[in-house]
Amino acid sequence: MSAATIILRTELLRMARGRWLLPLWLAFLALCAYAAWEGAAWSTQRGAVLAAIQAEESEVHQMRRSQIVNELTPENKSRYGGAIYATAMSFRATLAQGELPVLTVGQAEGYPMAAKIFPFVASNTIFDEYMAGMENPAVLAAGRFDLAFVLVWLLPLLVMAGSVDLWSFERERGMEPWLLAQPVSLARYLLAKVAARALLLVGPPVLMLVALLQFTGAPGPAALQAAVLSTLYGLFWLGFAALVNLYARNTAQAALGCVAGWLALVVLLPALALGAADVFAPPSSPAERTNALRAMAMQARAEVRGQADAASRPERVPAPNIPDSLRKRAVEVERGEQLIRAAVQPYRTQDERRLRWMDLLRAGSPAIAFQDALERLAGADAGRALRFQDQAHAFLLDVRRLTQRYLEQDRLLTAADYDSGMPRFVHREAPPAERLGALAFDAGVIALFVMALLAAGARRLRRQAPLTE
Amino acid sequence: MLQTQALSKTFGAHRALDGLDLDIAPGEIFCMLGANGAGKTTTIKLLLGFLAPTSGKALVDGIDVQADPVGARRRLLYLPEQVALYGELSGLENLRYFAGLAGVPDCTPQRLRGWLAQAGVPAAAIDRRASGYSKGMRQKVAIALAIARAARGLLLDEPTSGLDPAASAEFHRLLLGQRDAGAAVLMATHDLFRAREVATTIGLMRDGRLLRSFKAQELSARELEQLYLDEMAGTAGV
Repeated sequence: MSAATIILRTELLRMARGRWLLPLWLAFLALCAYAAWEGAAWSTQRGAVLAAIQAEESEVHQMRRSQIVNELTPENKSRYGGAIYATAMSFRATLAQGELPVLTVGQAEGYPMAAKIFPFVASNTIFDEYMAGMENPAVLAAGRFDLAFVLVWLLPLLVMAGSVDLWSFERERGMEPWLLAQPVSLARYLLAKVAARALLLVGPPVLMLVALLQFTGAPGPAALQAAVLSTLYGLFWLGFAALVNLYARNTAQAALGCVAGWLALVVLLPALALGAADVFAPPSSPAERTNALRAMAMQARAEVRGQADAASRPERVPAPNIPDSLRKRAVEVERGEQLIRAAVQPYRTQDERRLRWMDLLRAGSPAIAFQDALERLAGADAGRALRFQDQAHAFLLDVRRLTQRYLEQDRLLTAADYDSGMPRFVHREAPPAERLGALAFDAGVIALFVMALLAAGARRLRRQAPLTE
Repeated sequence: MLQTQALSKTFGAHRALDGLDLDIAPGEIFCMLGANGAGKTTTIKLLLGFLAPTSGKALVDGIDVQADPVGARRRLLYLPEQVALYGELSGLENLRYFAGLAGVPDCTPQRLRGWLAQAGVPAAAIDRRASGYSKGMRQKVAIALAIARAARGLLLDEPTSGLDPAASAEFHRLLLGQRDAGAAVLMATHDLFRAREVATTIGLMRDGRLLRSFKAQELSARELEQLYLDEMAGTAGV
């Protein structure tokens, strides 16, 4: 049996006999279970909201069809008007749940997940109706106790609680010279000890995570990816504790070093990264944008009204199926949209720039990269939410083009139109390669940090004799 | 077996060891006597490869310690003043661990018990957790390791400091057993009388230098004490 195997086996035995391992596992399991339950409840709630919005769309279509059947004459003429004009079409766009919605309540919760779309709605207002209905914004702002929180914030504490005395125990008890006098190098001791702790401090939490994801109905490749990322993240913290142990003279110093590292990498660096993003790529102001758009909409209405007054035409005889007032409204909407597009562009550019910065800054700490990866796996990342917004806007344009055809042909909606199928919004996910690329980037960042720890550890071992001279 | 050739070590401006030449053959016990800071522990650390020499060489069974510290340690057993064991493990498990690290084959429970018994560990204590062991008992586990490993070189750094007289006597009895088995022993100690009893050769050290070495039986205990005091005061031969 090799020396490494003997150390590994003995460490496992020592840890198993320690009184702290089981309580640590149980505490972590309890926290994970509570977070998973919270996440599952939130996911169910969100799923119900989205289902209700989709049901609302079907119900409106059904209602419109009934109205058409009742109101349209056999000659396809309107008895009363209104509901059977194409301008009355109403649709809903919803952002489907991600692959592992129970994992996190993420950045995307700050973005709309549903839109109400009808032809004459201004594109900047399609998300307004559902923004308030999804969740208490105060709760979202404060953050939820979700699995991502447990993994990003608490897994490091679990790992370091069990490895804070990885070598300082031996140093503090005067065992170091006695151990190093055996024909085994310090590097081998440390690697075997790290391996033992990886088995008992990283392995079980990852298994707990996988089991909870299975239990909450989120199995599949995404769960496996979450497990791989969590393992990598756990190994980073184990490596960090090992490095601290190479410098610390005793366990108290090692504990201080571990806590300081945790504070720096999990709490301070993400906050600093956000601060840096605010300085170099500040977010656009929603209030400023709303005001600008409101002004644009007013300007559009005034312009169109002025043009209409200048070129007022007598009413057509016989009157068209669709009143000309709706065509005027369409022109007004189109003009407003041109102005809105121009007004929105600078804000959009500003937001995209910020997103690029945020993407870059996630390389600043393994905690940021891990959180980002978890949000991507949960489908709660900002990129996905913004893509949904783009797709909802594109769908609005499709609806407008369809309406325009009805206006040009002066054609009323018929039951057959509904029977043959109205357009439906379908959210398209990012291509798998793009999604996997982003996850690989996050995993690469954590792996790089692990390698940096290994390099720092190797340097420390090379530069210092095993015992302090 | 244990050799140093003009071995020197300086820490900044302080010369901790100054051109030490030693050659300890198998079956020989060399006791280093000297006040604190004389260079005894530094010599042991250099032979273990814990420190790099400023100049000179430390050799174990012909192996240059600097070039192959692990190879040298394979032939050595080191006994510090405080032998620390893993408290969560029993004496037997501790011995199995350290013997395994040293590459001792066939560490069966029966053989481990035999080695521990040879070292004087009571049968009732063998399976008890080492957290309850006395210092003497821990030293015995270390001696059991020396027996198990059939170590060819023993480096002892004040091993009996803090032991009661009975435990100290038993330790020295075990040490003589190791000597008779052919081990070369280098022991740093402050215990002049015990040194005279067990040593083959005694070396007096002061300020990093070996002042003189002589056969232990050449002097009586009283003469040794006087010589030691004179050398430490720098008045020997005056």
